Amino acid sequence: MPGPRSTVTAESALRDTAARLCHVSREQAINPFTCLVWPEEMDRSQWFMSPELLSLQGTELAAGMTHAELQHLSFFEAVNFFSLNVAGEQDLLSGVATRLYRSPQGEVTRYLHHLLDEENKHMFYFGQFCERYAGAVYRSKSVPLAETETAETADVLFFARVLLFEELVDAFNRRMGRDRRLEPLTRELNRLHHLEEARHLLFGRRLLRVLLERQAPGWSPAARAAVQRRLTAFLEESWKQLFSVRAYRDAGIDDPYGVRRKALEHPAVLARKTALLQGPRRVLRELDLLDGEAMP
Amino acid sequence: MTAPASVRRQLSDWVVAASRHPERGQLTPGTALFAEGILDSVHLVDLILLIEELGGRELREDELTPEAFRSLDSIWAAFFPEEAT
Repeated sequence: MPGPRSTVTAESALRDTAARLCHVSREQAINPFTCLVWPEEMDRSQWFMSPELLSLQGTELAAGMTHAELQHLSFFEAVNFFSLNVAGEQDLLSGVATRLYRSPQGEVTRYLHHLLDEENKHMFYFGQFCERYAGAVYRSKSVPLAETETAETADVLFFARVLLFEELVDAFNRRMGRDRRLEPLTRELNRLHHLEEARHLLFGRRLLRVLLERQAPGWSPAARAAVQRRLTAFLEESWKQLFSVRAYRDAGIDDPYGVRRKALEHPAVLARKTALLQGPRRVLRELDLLDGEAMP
Repeated sequence: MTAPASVRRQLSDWVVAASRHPERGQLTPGTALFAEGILDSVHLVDLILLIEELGGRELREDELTPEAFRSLDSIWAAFFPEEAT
């Protein structure tokens, strides 16, 4: 269990990081309201996801699709990917906004304002892409279940979910932001997102370390196990959302439900899952939040 | 078109297979799936998609309420009303 000295170290590391990131956010601010060029129409016979990252890549179905069909699918998978980002950012914005000014946090609060500003801009460009070129953002299907989080674990769960989602998304952005095969605007959105998310990820890890040092020592073994289980489940949920029935249907694929089910269990997809979830799992392991029972 | 009994059986089989805690008690049509920990939120998207597939239609956002997903009986009543009566 961390003692007072390491708490001070984690807290000062967080403050130093927040101060440095505030400076970088001011110096390297990106304004997507003015810097992006939106084509009037989008030619869909291009790559919108790296072909290796398509959800069906490696399956027999993808092997039987033509180059043009795969590019067509890549457009709708990008719409799904951007839509998931919009939903993730909506959760993040409301969760961070309600936590601001609960207590004086100095540089940390100032950085959270930058984070809100940047996430709002990400939501703008991802949402605009979907509206302009696909007609709408794909709405996430969820049910508002009764709140099961206790006050003592709610902050850790919230910021850990944010961090896991950003880690997963960044695994895609990092690759697609430098993939010259991608349609230029799509590549640029991935690149811009990765630039700012890299800062958010660093901040998120520092913040979680502090929250855990403050709160986790008071948790019962059952509470800790519940947090671990919840976060591991969240990661699994996030992965599954990349397999979109709506995208398959819009791409003209027959039996989209069956295709999704089979893809999620396909050995090639499971191997890709292991590779792409490496970052989020490492975060959970470093923070001692990995549910060993579910995820060896 | 899937026969009603088959739909009910498929939903029930799916819940049993998806639950990580079958030892927590007997699953009955009235068992509170989420409140009693039979399922958790990780199962929601798959459950919604299964209902869509079995019902042959996409669910609307306003149908996705906690009450509708409370138990197998409530799922039945909310999404397969003609078979429930």
